[in-house]
Amino acid sequence: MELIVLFLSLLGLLAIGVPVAFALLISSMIVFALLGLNPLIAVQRLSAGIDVFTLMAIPFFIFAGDLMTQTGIAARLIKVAEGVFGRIRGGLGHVDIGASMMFGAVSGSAIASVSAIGSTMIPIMEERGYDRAFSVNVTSAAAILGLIIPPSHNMIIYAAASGISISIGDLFVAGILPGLLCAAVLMVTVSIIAAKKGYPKGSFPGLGVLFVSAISALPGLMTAVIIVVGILGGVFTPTESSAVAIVYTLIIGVVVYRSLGVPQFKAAVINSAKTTSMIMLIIGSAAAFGWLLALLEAPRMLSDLILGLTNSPILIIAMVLVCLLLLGTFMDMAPLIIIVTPIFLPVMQAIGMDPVHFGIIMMLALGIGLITPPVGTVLFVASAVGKIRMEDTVRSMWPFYLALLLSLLLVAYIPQISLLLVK
Amino acid sequence: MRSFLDRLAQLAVVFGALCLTVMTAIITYQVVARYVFNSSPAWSERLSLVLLAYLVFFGAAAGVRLGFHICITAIRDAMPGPVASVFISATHILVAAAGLVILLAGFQLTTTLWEFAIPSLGIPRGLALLPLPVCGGMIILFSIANLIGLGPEEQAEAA
Repeated sequence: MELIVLFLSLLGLLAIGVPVAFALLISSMIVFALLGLNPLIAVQRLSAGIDVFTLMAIPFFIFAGDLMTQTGIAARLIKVAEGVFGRIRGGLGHVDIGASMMFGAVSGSAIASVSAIGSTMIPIMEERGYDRAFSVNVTSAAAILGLIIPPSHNMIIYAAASGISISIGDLFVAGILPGLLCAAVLMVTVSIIAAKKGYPKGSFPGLGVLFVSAISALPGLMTAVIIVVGILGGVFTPTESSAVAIVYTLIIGVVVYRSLGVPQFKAAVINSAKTTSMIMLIIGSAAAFGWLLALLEAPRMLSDLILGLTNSPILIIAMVLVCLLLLGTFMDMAPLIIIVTPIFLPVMQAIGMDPVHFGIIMMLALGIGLITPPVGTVLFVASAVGKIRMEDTVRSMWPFYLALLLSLLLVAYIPQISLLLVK
Repeated sequence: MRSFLDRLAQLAVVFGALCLTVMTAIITYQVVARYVFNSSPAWSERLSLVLLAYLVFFGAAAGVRLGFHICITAIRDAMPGPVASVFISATHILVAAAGLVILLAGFQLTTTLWEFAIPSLGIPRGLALLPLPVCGGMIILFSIANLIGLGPEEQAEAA
């Protein structure tokens, strides 16, 4: 009964346009009152949900990503990708994917990726005869790569939400091959569409130019290496690594790229403060919401339900994938990770799945949710950057949905793709 | 009034940005201290978490004014004008109500825990919770302003 009130009030609040963080909090408060508990506990859970040292990596990753974006790294990465992929048919589509993949490694944010890569790539693509909808499609699909390619702050949320000890270093490493796989599948998709529509090939700029652009992008790309190697080598905790990444980016931006001045720093830190408070409030409210779900024994009920229906791991994985994809279409990623991890992880562990593997599945499945309507933040931003209506973006998006779905199935059913590189 | 509210929200964001900068410096110092001076400061993680609370709650309150909280407007946008404006007003009232609970709970938590010290910092535990009632108060202020037509300029034009 209380569970029904909890979900219905959440849906109702979301439907009338209450911000996600407040919808989670208010629906929790209602059920706290219904259960005869003091609704003030909801606020206490909210505050406790933020007061977690590991989660402090999130503002730092966001800040490092914003600073890196301000240095103008996107343009350098696009140059490298153009040198490598430009001469294939539909070259700029491949360039977009390659650049988004590298940008994912330095920023970890899909939204930053669509705005940084999209604002440069979409106009260039249109100028060279690509459909604008196609350019927006490629950019938004490729932005998802940033969630899987390490480092990714969503993986930190997952590790914190799991309630068990999952190594963030392992999660980061586990994302590498699935990220490359998705990129490859997306590139095949671009090739097929490009051949059909007769999109042009680019020209090869020559090894010398490619070498120079690679050298110029290298200091930026090193951020990702510092973070991942630093965590794996036990040099830093994830939180420390993200703070070090900020300092490193500052040095690179000021000394090497010389594109980071006081105005850029100000823009980055203000933007990060906004993004951080928005995301962390959602995380805190989701923690209060999740605490209630646990109190009402929702995780146990759902796992009994699923395990009672079938004991075939293949079917159970399929059911969880469908749930994740459906939930992802109308909820944002961070609150979903906090809420569904304690619900689904025990089920997946019961069928013998590695928690690291499940983490990667969740990143990809919920990532796809970011580019599907009705609630697809990345899709909104990409459509806004491309100055095109969201409906028009979605109409031609299906080959990319199929491609990502195929990647998701491969990643879900072949654990080695995620776990091969993990010790 | 409008410009006062705008300035208050911007000030809250700038304060949050300042907290973020100091947090970065503290955690970087922690790494340096461990490798260079061979000793990790006991206060660094705790202090950064206190600053994080200030950053998040001040920023979250400002977000009500500056409108950067994520919300789903697809359904509201599809409604005829009068229904949509009822939805918008209801949203402001509900957010104000949540602000009120945050204010009351935050006040209670802050005062109750004021006499306990955070061991590694020696400051009252209540100081770490102080952003809650302040945030609650600002949320109420900003939501009521939105409700009675004192919202930010763009919103006033749209309405």
